[in-house]
Amino acid sequence: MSPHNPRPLEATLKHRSLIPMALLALFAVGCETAELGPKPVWAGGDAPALSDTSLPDISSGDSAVTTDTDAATEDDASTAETSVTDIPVTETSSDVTVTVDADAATDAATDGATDGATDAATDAATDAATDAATDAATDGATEDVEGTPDATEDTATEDAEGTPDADADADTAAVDISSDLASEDLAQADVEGCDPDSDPTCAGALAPTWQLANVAQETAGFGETYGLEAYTGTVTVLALLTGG
Amino acid sequence: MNDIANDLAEEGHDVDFLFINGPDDAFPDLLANKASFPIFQDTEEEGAWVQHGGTKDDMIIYTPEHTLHAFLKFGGPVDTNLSTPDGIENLKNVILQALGALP
Repeated sequence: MSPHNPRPLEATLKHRSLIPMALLALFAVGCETAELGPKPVWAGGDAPALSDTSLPDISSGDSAVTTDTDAATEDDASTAETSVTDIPVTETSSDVTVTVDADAATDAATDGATDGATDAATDAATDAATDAATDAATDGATEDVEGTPDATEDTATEDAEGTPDADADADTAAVDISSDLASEDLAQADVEGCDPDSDPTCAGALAPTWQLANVAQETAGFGETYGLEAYTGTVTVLALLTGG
Repeated sequence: MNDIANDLAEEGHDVDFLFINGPDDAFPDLLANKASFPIFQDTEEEGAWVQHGGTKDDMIIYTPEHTLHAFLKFGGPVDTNLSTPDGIENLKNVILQALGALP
């Protein structure tokens, strides 16, 4: 009878049970590292935390690169003020960009605030102007409606007094006498206070009573002495002239 | 002025035109060459120009009742220079107003 040797069999069985476990453990570590699957259940203790990995956390913006750049920015603070202002600002960037572009961000914020304030002021001014114009128009319309009787009364009063019309006619007469003018407006001395009883140039003044000789040989009354009474009943036009 | 008189006569208006020669002017015949109107020679004694309150080249229009209708001072606001169309038209319009032919 051959002797029985149990050790190789036990060792073989132990190895066979460890192989799947080792494979499972390796697979679990790989998934956790790549964040491709659920965290595996670890037989030997807690699973490693996500922060323990060397991958950057892009959700928080705090990264090793950011920290390094912050340090560099702080170290070169004296020169960074003038050298980094041209770097464009990106709101979705990490703390690095925000820190480096502090001035630019401030400028942008200032500009934004200024623009916003300007826009707000403009809007407010426009609104106020629009409101004021609307109010004025409304008030004016109201005043027009309310003032219509007054304007009519004023016009009627002026017409009754006659002064505005006389002034208007006088001004018009100086420009165009062919327009419709009151006859008294054409008198040269037809001014306020002109007394036709004492001033022969006032409208309504009576014709003088001079008596002179008619020296025009080819006219009726040549050689006779008479005056304007001979022409009563007709419009008479006199011209004061000299032949010499 | 002859043209105005003729136009008015053709339009059926009865208007008398007169000249009064200045008291210091001794040549009224020169006026007669310009128009066929009666020419009255003014004198210092009568003083027709003074009675009218006018001076040389003034024009005076009376209504049929011989009250003053218009006194057109030469060089005044109404152009009465008869060497210009405007002056002729102005004077004619004033006469028409005195006749009641214009409003």
